[in-house]
Amino acid sequence: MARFDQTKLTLRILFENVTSAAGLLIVLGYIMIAIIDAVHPQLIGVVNAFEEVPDYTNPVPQPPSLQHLFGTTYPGIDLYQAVIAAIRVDLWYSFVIVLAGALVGILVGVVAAYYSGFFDEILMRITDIFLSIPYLPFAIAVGFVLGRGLDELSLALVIVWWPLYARYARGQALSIKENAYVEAARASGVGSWGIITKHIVPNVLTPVFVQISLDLGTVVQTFAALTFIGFASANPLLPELGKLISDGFPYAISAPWVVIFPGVTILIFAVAMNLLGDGLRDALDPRNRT
Amino acid sequence: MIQETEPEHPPDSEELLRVSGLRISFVTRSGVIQAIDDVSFEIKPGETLGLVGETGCGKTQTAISIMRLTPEAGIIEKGEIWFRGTNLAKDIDKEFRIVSKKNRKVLKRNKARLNNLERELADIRGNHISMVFQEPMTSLNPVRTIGRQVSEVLLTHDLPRLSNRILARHAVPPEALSEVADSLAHQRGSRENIRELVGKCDLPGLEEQITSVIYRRDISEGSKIKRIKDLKQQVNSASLSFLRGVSAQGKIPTAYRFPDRIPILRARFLGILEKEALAVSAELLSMVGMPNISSVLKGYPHELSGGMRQRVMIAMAIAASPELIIADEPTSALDVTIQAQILQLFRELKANLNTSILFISHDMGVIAEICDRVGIMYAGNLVEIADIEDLFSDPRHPYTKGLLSAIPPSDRKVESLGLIRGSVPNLMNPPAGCRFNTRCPFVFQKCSQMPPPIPVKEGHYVRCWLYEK
Amino acid sequence: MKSEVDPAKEQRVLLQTENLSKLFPVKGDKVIGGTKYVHAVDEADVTISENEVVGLVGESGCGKTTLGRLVLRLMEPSKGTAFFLIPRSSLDRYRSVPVGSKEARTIEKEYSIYRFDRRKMKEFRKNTQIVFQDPFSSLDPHMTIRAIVAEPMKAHHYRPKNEIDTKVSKLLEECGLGEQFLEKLPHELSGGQRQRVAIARALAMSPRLIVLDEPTSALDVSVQAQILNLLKRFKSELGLSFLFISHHLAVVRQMSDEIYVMYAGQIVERGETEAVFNSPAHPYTIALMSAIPVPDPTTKREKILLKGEIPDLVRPPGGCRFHPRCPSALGNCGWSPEEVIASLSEVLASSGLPSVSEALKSRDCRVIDGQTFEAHVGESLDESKTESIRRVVAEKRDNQSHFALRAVKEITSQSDTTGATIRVSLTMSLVPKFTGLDKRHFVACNLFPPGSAGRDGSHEFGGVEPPVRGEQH
Repeated sequence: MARFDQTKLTLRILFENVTSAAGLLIVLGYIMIAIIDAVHPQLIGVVNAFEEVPDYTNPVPQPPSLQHLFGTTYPGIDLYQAVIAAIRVDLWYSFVIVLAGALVGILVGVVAAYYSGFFDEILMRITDIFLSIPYLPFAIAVGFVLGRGLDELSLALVIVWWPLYARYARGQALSIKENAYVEAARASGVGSWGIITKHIVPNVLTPVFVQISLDLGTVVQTFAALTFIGFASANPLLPELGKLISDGFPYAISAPWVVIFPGVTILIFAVAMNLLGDGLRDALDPRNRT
Repeated sequence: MIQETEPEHPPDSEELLRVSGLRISFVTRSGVIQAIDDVSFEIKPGETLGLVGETGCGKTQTAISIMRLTPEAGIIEKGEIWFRGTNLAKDIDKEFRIVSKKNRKVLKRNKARLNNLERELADIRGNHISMVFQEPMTSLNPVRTIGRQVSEVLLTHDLPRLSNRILARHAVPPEALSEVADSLAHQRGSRENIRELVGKCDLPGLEEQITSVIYRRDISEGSKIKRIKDLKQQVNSASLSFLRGVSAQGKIPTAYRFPDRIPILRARFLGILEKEALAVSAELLSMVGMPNISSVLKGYPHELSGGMRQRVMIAMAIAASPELIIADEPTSALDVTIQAQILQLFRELKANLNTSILFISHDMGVIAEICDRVGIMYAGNLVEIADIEDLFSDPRHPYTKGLLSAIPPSDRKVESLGLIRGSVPNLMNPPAGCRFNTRCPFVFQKCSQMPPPIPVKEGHYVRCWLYEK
Repeated sequence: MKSEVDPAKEQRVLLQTENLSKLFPVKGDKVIGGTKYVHAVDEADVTISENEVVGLVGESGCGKTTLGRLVLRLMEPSKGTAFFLIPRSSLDRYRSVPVGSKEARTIEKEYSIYRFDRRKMKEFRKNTQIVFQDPFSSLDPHMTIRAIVAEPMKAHHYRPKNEIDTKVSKLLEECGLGEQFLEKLPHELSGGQRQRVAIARALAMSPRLIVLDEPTSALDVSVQAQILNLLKRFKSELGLSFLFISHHLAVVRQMSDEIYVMYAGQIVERGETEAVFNSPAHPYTIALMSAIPVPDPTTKREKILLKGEIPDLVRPPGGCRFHPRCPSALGNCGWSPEEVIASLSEVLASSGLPSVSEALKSRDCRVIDGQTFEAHVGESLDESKTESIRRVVAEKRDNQSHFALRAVKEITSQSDTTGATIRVSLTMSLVPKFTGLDKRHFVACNLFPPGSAGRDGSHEFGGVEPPVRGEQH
């Protein structure tokens, strides 16, 4: 099928470039880890995928060794298992946040672009208002009002994130709207909603896709940053990268591995996602596709 | 195997440009496109050769390969491009190796192109061969004024012309100027005639300048007399030695190559030439029929209409008095009435400048108006070439005939237009032999071999076995 | 009201526009005194009958594309209306009653496409279609060819549903595309193939009218021939009507039964194709036709080279918009005081009256109204000087650069202590109306002043001689 060939072509181009190939492979690696961890954690040496397992007999953080690949953190939690499980948790939340934000943003942006005029102005001013909200104080405020759980945190981040997509999607939609095939659809009797869903949104998705991939890296970091400063799930033993860093923070000087491993995990993911996003942008550029 | 159609030899002095056995391929992700195959033609001095064909026939690639402006993905596999005694394609053996790797040809390029060739090409481009493109908006720099863009051509390629003009104005006795002004200011007529008359007055270096003033239709006679008299200019000694150096060496003498850290000195000397270049630019714009020259010079490309931008492009193309102008669909983006104006301009330039023109178009009507000879291209081959009247009155190649019959006539209504059945072949896998054999109504056995150019008349060659002797 | 003819069986005009105009506001330019407008289409009357090809010709900016969109209601007009399938009698009725009257509005409610409700609009969309110039952007790059051609059928709820696929295959086949194209994406097709898909899509719901906006301008000559032959075949086999918009005169000649020539938003000439091509009347049409390059090197045709450029439509020239470039312009063709001042000042500068010339260029010159202006000169002007001004005007106005002088009606001067005041009055300009050169050929040009009766001069004119140049006052 023609569309499958398109995907194959994209992949081929991605692999031509070392950095984007690396990015793709690393990201895929993380996703694999998350999936395996959820389904069959024993495969990668995780005993309890959903909770950290403290070992109160040995609460002091131990350096990396054969039994504990990444060492242990206070109070006796195997860092390797915790990090692996945390990857799953962070990835899950980040994907949900970005996808939800994108969904809302695209909808608002496309509708604003299509109807233009006064409606467009109103929607865009609302978007501007949301855009000007600084994420940190806002998240803290939400935490204060609604509670400091991870779900509340996700909500706060979605609220802060969607306006970017609205802006971006609106820009794309404005130029797509001018294409002859949109006019042809109108002349064929397709209604406004039909045009939006069948013509504008699908063509907006391709460039937005690139934006999504770039954002995932950022969201992971932001999420971790906020859990570092205090957002946490109801279950204090839920592994989460930011929380791991904050838990290990008091021991950072004497036992640096407790912050290094979770920190580097975040970093690698963010960088890889960035490389992948860049690579995707180049790969999807019609000029590079012969 | 491709047949060698021209043995290797430099052209005789009759020819300005000779392209011989050109073969260009493009390496893409999905395969190698054999875009141009065994193309040969010549252009004589002062001749206008048209190159006609439809999309993908290779006419644009042929033209830009002459100046070696082929894009990265394109390689000249074979062929010679003789211009002014040099083969501009002499480095092609060193340029590439096509390596076969798992059925996919991978291009490995040897990046070391001969340094000499690069320098020669830089000297040729814009100077001896210039180009006019189809889309004037994208060929002009949107953030520089028109005046600067046209001047740039002169400052890059023709410095002695600028310095000579200034020196001539310095050297001329003012009485001689008065005499010329009084006797010729009232002259009307073509630029050529005026120039002849001025030439007789024996004022070396000033012919162009005086002719430009006299030729202007928009100022009064009194004004003209005054302006000619005002040509007399006193140049101070420091500038004089600078200008003499420029004229003698053909470039800025080393002593005057002030670094940018001393902008005042640079401006002092280079500025003189820049001002002169602007004056010449004004003359060039008047030659191409531009209205409101002074405001245009100060303005930017987006302030001009399509027709005017094209005139600017043409002015830039003729600025350094090239021997060959390559015009790639210069009027295709213009309205019919504006196109008529620009074609008229081309005709005037042809008559006045004796430049050769390689004129590329898909419009046979335009070709019929401008060209002396025309070549028809199809799928990377030059299938027929002839004098212009000959081609239209006696087309031989089946593709040429098909093409001519498909043109909607503007003088009467016809039942239906002539058709060529089928479609252009994929050039990654071109048909063996004559590339038209998949669509030709007269195809026969021999067509699986590529026919050589067969002469059917004086100057008329067809690549078709139907005309084998 | 009982009419003699039963409206259901009576002859109907497929599409008729009346005084259709479109102005586009210029964005961002905040001029004191209101927004500026681009006068894209000005009072266009176009008639399209059943099984007819109407050609719309003109250069860029003439408004033909906008008119094409208006006719399908892909844009709303600023003024005027367009009727779909209006009976002849109602049309005549509409033209005979005053604009805005109750009867006029009733007719509009019934037949005007801009007043159609949702239901009638759906019908209209089923009956009309459009094919665009650019085969690349007219097909959604994400949809398969099958989906693209089926779209109109889906939108109009074509029944029975399971026959949609067979119909799509049949349409593509009719357009010369085989089965293998069904699942392809647009970028895999060549320009010519894409246009065929666009045509197949246009035919999907068997419309009565298809607007084709430069359908072959982006195609090669041989491909164009194929597409044009295809269109001709469909027209005769299916009884379609086309509005064929193009700047390519030869193509329009081949395809159209009637043509309309547009310039700067106005229709300047219209009529049966052969009549207009064989004896073009409007100076613009003549120039346009002479500018077509003919693929025959032996014809040395006298080309009329128009000077100047297509005008800016934000401030279009008054009267006939072609007058600044017209090689046969008369005094009443719409010269503005500013144009006359510029011309007069120029000719006087080189004719020994520099003081007057300067006065005209300076602030001492005032425009009093649309037909008069005055200038105050420093020196006194006796009658002989004024007479010499008149003489210069009479001399120079045959030069095409100074046709504006033809608008000068009277020059008077009055001297006083401070100098003299020159007063120039101009002829009233006339917006040209359509005149019939014969029953099927009409032109809007002051060289052909209107005959009598009827808006479209349906009066037999026969053998008109254009007035001798320079005599028009």
